[in-house]
Amino acid sequence: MKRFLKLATISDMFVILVLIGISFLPFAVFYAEQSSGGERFVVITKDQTVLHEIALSDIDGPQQITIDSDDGHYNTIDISSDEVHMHDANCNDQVCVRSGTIDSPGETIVCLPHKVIVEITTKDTGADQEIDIISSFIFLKELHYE
Amino acid sequence: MSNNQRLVYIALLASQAVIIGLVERMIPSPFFFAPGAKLGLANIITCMALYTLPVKDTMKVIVIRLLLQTLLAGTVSTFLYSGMGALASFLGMLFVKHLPKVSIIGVSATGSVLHNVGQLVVASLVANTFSVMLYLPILSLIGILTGIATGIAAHYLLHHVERLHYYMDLKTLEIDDMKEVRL
Repeated sequence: MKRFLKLATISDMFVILVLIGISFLPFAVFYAEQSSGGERFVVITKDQTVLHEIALSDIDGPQQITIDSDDGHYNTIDISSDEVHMHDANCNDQVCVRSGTIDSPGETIVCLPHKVIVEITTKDTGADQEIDIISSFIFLKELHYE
Repeated sequence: MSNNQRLVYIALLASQAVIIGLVERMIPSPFFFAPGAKLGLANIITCMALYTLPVKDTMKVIVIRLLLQTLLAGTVSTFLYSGMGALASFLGMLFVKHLPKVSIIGVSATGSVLHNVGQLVVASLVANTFSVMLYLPILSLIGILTGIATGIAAHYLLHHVERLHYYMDLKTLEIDDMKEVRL
C-alpha cells in the first residue's frame, strides 16, 4: 500500500482535493437556489375559493390576516416573511391552531370546521421540485451499461 | 514512428479499450449501492494513449473506442452518455496533465470524475431536472477511488511494458523536434 501511495505526488493530492470540491458543487448550487430563488406563496382558501395569494418575499414584517364569515366564525393567520401559522380560531376542535407553523412548499394548515385551508406553494412546478434521487436511479441504471 | 506503425498502434489501443469495456460489462458492478458507478478500466487505455501519443491521435483512439463500443453493445442514449463523459474527461485529463508535477494518478482520477460529470449533465438534460446532478458526489467519490486504482495500474503498465517506453520516448523526441523546427 505504501508503495502505491508513494507514486502520488503532492500536486496529485491537490488535484484530488479539487475534484472532491467539484463533486459537491451541485449541492452548493442547489441549496443556493433554494434559499434565494424558488418563490413561495401563501394561498388561503375558504369553501374552495381562493381568498388570498401572497408571495412570502413581498411581506416585510409579521402581519395578520383574519378570515371572517357571516355566521361569526373567524380564523386569524399570522404571516411573516418566512413562515405561516394559525394564530387563533373559534372553531371547536382547534386542530388548525395546534398544527403549528409551516414554511416549506407543500405544507398545509387545515381548519375543517370552517373549511379554511392555508397552503404554501411555489409557482412553477410545485411538488415536482422535490429532490427525488431514487427516481433518477432509473436513468443511472443505464449509465452502467454504456 | 512511421505512419503504418502509428495507425496500428492507435488501432491496437482502441481495440484493447473496447475489449476491456466489454469484459467490464460482464463483471457485476461491485458498487451495488450506487447504480451507474463502475470501475472504468477502459480509462487505463485512455491514460496510456495520452502519455504515448500526440493529442490528435489520442482523440482518434477515444472516438474509435466510443463508436465501436456503441455498435457492439450500446444504444443511442448510452452513446450520448458515454460521448459526453469521454469528451469531458478527455479535456480535463489534457488540462491536468499539463499542470506541473501531476502524475498519472491525478490525471486518471480527473478523467474518472469528469466522466461522471459529463454523464450526469446529459442525464439531467434528458430527465429535464437538475436534481439528477445531486447524485454526483456519490458517483465521483467512487470515481476518485477507482481513478486512483486505474492510475496506479496505468503507471505500472507505462513503466514495465518496454514497447510503451519506446512510444513514450518517440513522443518526447517528436515534441523536441517540433520545438527545434520552431526555433
